[in-house]
Amino acid sequence: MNPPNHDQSLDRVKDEIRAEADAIRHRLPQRRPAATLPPLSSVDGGAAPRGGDVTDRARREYTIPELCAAQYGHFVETAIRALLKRPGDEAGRNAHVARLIAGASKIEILGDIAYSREGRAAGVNVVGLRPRYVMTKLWKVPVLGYMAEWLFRLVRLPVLARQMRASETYQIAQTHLLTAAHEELRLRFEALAARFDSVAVAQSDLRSEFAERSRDATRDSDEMRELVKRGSSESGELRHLVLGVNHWLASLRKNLADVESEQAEAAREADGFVAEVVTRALAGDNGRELRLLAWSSVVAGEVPEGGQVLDLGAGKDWLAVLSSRGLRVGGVSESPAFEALARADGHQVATSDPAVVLARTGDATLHALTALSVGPVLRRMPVAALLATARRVLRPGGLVLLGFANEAAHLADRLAGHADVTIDAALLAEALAAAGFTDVRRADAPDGVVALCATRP
Amino acid sequence: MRIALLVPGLRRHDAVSNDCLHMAAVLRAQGHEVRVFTLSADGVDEAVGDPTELPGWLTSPRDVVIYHFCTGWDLAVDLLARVRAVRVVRYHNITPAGFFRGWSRGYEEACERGRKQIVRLARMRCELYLGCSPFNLEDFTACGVDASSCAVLPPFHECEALVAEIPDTSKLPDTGGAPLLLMVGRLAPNKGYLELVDALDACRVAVDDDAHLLVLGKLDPNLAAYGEAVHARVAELGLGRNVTFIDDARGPDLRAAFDAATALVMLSAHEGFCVPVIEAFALGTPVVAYASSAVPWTLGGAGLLWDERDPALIASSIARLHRDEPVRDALVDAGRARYRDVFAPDVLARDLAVVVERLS
Repeated sequence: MNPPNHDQSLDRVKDEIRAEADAIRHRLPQRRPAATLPPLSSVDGGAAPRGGDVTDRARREYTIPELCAAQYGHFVETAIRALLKRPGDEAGRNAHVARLIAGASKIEILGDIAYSREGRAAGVNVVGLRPRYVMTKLWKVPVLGYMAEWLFRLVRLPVLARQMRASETYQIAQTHLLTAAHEELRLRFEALAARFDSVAVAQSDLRSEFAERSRDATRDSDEMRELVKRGSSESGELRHLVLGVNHWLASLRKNLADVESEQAEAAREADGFVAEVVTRALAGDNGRELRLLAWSSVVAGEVPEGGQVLDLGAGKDWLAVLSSRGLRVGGVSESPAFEALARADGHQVATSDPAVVLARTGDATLHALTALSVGPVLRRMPVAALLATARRVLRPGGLVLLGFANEAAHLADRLAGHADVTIDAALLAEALAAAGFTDVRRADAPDGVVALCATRP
Repeated sequence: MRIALLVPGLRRHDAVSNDCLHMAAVLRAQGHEVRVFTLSADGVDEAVGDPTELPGWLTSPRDVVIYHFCTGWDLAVDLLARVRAVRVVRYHNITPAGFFRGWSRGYEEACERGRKQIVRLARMRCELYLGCSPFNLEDFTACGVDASSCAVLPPFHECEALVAEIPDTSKLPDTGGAPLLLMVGRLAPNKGYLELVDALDACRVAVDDDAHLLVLGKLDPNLAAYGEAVHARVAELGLGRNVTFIDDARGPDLRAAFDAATALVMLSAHEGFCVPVIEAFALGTPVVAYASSAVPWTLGGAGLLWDERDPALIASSIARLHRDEPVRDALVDAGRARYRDVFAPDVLARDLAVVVERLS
C-alpha cells in the first residue's frame, strides 16, 4: 500500500478480507453460540424452571407450560430472556412483577412481551399463545368483555371448583408445615437463650480475670518504666557515637565526590585530546573525501530520498555527505567531544555504545546501517549479534555497508590502546551471507579501501 | 500556579495511575507546583497527601484541581463541591453497569454508583471536562455540559518504557509459525473474551490448526463466574492447547508478546480509550478491532476496524496479516505514525500545556 493512498488501500484490503470471510464462513462448522449472558440462576436467586435451558439464544420456539413453570420475578426474567434474548432491565422487570401482584395473568405478561415491538423483532414463537392472549385482551373490552369473561368462567366453574379444593388442601398442608417450622424455631430460640446465659457467666469470669491481669500489667509497667529510664542514659551515649559516625561518613562522601569529579575532568581532557588528534589525522588523509563520496553514492543508490540511515562511529564528515544527498541521518559515537562537533554542524548524534543504540532501535525502522570502520563495532558486539540486530532494525530491502577504513572510531580506539579486531573482508562476507543477507558484494573505495555491502531480504 | 491532582488510588502498571503520575511530572517540568492527593499509594515513587488536606493546600482561586474520575468516590465529589479553585474533571470512563449484570453484583453496584456521579459532576458546571477520548465526553454532554467546557487529552502512558524493555519470551507459547492472536486486558464481560474465543476457533478451522490465542490479563475473583464461562467455552470448542493465559505478565513478557503476535485482536464492547492499542502502535504490532466505544477514535484508521465481531471476519483478517507482509507493514507504519503524531509523550505534554494555558 502507498502511504498517500492509505485510506483507499485500506478500504480495498478490507473488501478483500470481507470476500475471504464469506468463503471461510461456509467452511466453518455450526457452533452453538457462546453464552454471552450470565447464568439465569445468578439473576434473582430463585430456582431455575424445569424443562431445560429456556434462555438458549438459538432457540426460537417455546411452549406455554415451560415458560410459566417459574414464579414471580423468576417467571418475568425467564420470559424476557426467552422471548427477547437479553437479560431483563430492572425497571421492566419490576413493572411486570407489579402487574402480577395486581392480578394480571402470566398469559397476559407473556403476550405483552412477545407481541411488543422488540418481541416481534426477536421473532420467537410461543405455541398456542396468540388465541389465549387475544382472549385476555377481549376481556378488557368494557361490558362485553366483562360478560364474556363471566360466561367463560361460568362454563369452567366445575374445573375452578376442583382447583379451589386442591388449592385449599395445599394451603392446609403448608400451614401444618409452617406450624412445625415455627415450633422448631421456638425450640432453637430457647436453646440459644440457655447458651446466652452461660455466655453471661463466662463473661463475668473473664471480667474478674481481666482485673487480675490489669493489676499484674500495672506492676510490670512500673518495672518497664525503670528500665526505660536506665536505657535512655545509654541511648544518649549511643546517639553521640552515631553522630560521630555520620560526620565521618559525610567527610568520606565528600572525598569520594572530589575524586570522581577529578576523574571526570581527566576523562574529558583525554577525550578532547583524542578528538584533536583524530581530527588532524583525518584532515591529512587525502583520499578520504573521494572515499566518502564513493560510498555515499552506494548508499544513495539503494535508499530512497528522505530514507533513515544510522551510522556507527564514522564522524561528522560522513554524516554531512549523506545529509547532502537528501537522507535523514543519525550517528552513534562513544566520544562526547565527537558528539559536540557533530551537533555543532547540525547532525543528530548519540553518545553511547553502538550495541545499546541498536537495541533501542525499533524493528524495520532503518533504510540503511553503515559502519565505515567495522572493527571498533565488532570489539563491542560479536559479529553474529551485530548482523542479527542489523536484520531486525533494517526494513526489507534495506542496505548494510561495512568498511575497513581508518575512520574516527577506529583512530580513537587505536589512541586508547585497543587492539584491532582481525577480521577480513572475505570472512565478513561469509558472515553476512550466513546471517541471511542477500546480494553481498564488494564496495571498495577508489583508493582501494575495502568495504562490503549487502541487502536485507 | 498550584495544581492538585486528586485520584482514588495509585498502583504500579495501572492506566489511571500512569496518567496521573506522568501528568504530575509534566506539569512540574512546565514550572507548576504540583501535589497528588490520594487515599492509597502502593509501589509508586510519589509523595502524596491525604485528600482531606487538599482544600488547605490551595492558596488562590486561580489554583487548579484535576480530579481523575474513574470510579464512584463520594469524598472527591464533596471536595470538588466546596473547593475555591478551578476544577477539572479528568474522565477515564466508567463501564455501564449492564455489562456486569448477572456476573457480579458488586461490580454492577460500583459501576451504577460511579455512573450516577457523572450526573452530579455535570451539574457542578466545572470549568473543564477533560476526556481521554471524544467518546468519554459524550457522557457529560448528554447530561447538559456545553461542548465549550470539554476538551480531549489522551492519557499519558508507559509505552516508551515498554519499547526499551528487553523481550522475555520464556512464557510465550511456541506456535511453530502459526498465527498468534494477542489480547491484553483484564478478564471482564465488556472485554469480549467469549467472542475472541469464537474468533480463534474460526481461525483454527479456516487458517491454521495451530493458531493460538495469548491472553495477558488478570481475573478478579469477583468476576470468577465470567472467567469460568470463558474457560468453559475454550473447553467446549476443544481449544485447550490453543489458548495461553498469563495473569502475571511484566514489561519484558508484554514486550515479547507484542513482538511475537500476528495482531492485537481487540473485540472489547466498551473502552474509554484502550491503551493496548497504542502499545501495539509503539511496538509495531498490527491491530484488528471491533468498532465500539472509543476504539475507532484511538485506532484512527491505523488498523483493521470492523462493525461486527464475526468470527469469520476476524479469522480472515488474521489470515491476511499473517501472509501479506506489505499490508502488515503498511498498518504498522500507519500505527507508528499515529502514535508519533497523537500519542507520543512530547505531543501529550504540549497538549497538556495548552489545556493549562486555557485554564489560567
